[in-house]
Amino acid sequence: MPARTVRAALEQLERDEPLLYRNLCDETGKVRRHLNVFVNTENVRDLAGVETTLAAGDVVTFLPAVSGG
Amino acid sequence: MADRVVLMIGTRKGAFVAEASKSRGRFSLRGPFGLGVPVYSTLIDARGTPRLYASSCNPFFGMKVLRSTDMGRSFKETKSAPAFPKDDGRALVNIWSIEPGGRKNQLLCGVEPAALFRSDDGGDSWQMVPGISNHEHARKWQPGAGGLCMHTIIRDGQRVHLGISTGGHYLSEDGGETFNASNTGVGAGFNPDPYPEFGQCVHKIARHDAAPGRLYMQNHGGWAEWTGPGGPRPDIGVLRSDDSGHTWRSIAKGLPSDFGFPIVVHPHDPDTVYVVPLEPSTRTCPGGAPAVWRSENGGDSWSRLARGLPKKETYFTVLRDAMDIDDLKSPALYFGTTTGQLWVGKDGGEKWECAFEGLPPIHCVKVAVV
Repeated sequence: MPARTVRAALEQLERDEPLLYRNLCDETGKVRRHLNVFVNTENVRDLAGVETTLAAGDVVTFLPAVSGG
Repeated sequence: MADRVVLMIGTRKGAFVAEASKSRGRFSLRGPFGLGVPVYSTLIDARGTPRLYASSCNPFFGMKVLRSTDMGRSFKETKSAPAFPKDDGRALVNIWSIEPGGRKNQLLCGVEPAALFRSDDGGDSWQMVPGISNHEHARKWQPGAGGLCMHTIIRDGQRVHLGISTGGHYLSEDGGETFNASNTGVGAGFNPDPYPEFGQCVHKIARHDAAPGRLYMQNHGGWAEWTGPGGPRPDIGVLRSDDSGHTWRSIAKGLPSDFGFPIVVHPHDPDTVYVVPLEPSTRTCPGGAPAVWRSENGGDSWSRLARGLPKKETYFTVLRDAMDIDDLKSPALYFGTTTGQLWVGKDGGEKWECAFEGLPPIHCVKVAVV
C-alpha cells in the first residue's frame, strides 16, 4: 500500500475496505481504544501516533489488546 | 399458529435464545451468539416472518447489529450498524434499544451517546433521526452510571416517547420529526433543582395500547433522605402519566423502595404494572430477599410477589431491560439478573422458577409467542 503515514494508510483503507476500516476506527476517524497499532515492532503510541511516517517495506500491524474480564 | 415461547437474552458475553412450548415447562437454550461480546438490546420482531435482532457492543471493533431469520438458530451481522455522520464529532459507544418502526422492515435504534437511528431495510442501513439526535439539549445531557443512553423508544400513533438517561422523557407528536422535553413532575434527585426541564435519570417507560394516554415510568428514585439543596424528594422513582407524558405523578407509595430499573405492564390489563424495587445505595434486592411488586390498580397500591424466589442472602440487580412479560392468556413474567439467573414467574408472577442458573450477567430479556 503506498502511504507516507499511518493516517494516509488508514484513509486508503477507508476508501478501499470500508467494512474493515470501520472495525479499526470510529466515526470520528480515531483508532479504536483497545487497538494497538505497530509500525514494524514499534507501537505508534511511542512514535508519532497516526502521524508516524512510513517507509517502503514497513509493516503496519493492528492488534487488539486482549483486555477485559 | 403461534405455539412457541421464545426468549432473547442479552448478556455480557453474547446473546442466548431460549425456547419452550406454551406450557413454559422447560426452556431449551441456544447460544451464545456473538460470543464474548456484550449485548445490551434484543428484539423479537414478530411482524411477518419473525426476525430476531441483537446489538453486539464490541469494545474492540465497534458496534454491530446481529440478525437471525431462522428463529435464533444462527445470526449474521447486518450490512451496517448505526453510525454518526463523519462531521458530527460523536462516536457510537453502545446500542441500547432496538424497536420495530411504523413501516414494514423499519427499525428504530437508541444508542449511546444518546441519539436515535432509523433503518428502513431491516437493519442493513441506518440514518440518524435529527429531531432528537441534534436536539438543542443533546450536548447538555450527562451520562448516568450506565452511560448516556437512549434506552426507551415507544411509538403511539404520531407520538414517539423516548427515555434517556440522563436526559429525561422526550415526546414527539409529529411522528418523530420534532421532540420536546416532557418532564413535568419527573424529579431529579441529583440536581439542586428537583424538577428541571430536562436531565432526569429516567430508567424505563412502559405503556399499554388499551389505555390511551397512560404511561408508567421507573425513574431514578432513592432520594427520600436527601438533605442537600432543594430538600428531600420522596417517591420520585415510580410515576404515572395520564396525558400522554405531558405531566407525571408519583405512584410509589406502598413500595419498599422507589429505586429500580425495569417497569412492565400486563399484556391484558393496563391497570396491572410490575416493578423490581432495589435498595437505592447498592442497587440490590432489599434485605437480600428479591421480589417483584405488582399493582393491579394503576399504582394506587402494591403487593409483593416472591413465591419461589430466594428468601435471603441474595443481592442481584435486575437491569432496565431485563424484565418482560409474554402475552399468553395467563402470562408469565421473565427477569434476568446480574448474577446470570433467568427467572420465570407464571400466573403473572405468582409462582417463580429459575430456568437458567449460570448464564453470564444478564443485560436484557425479551419474550414473544411465535
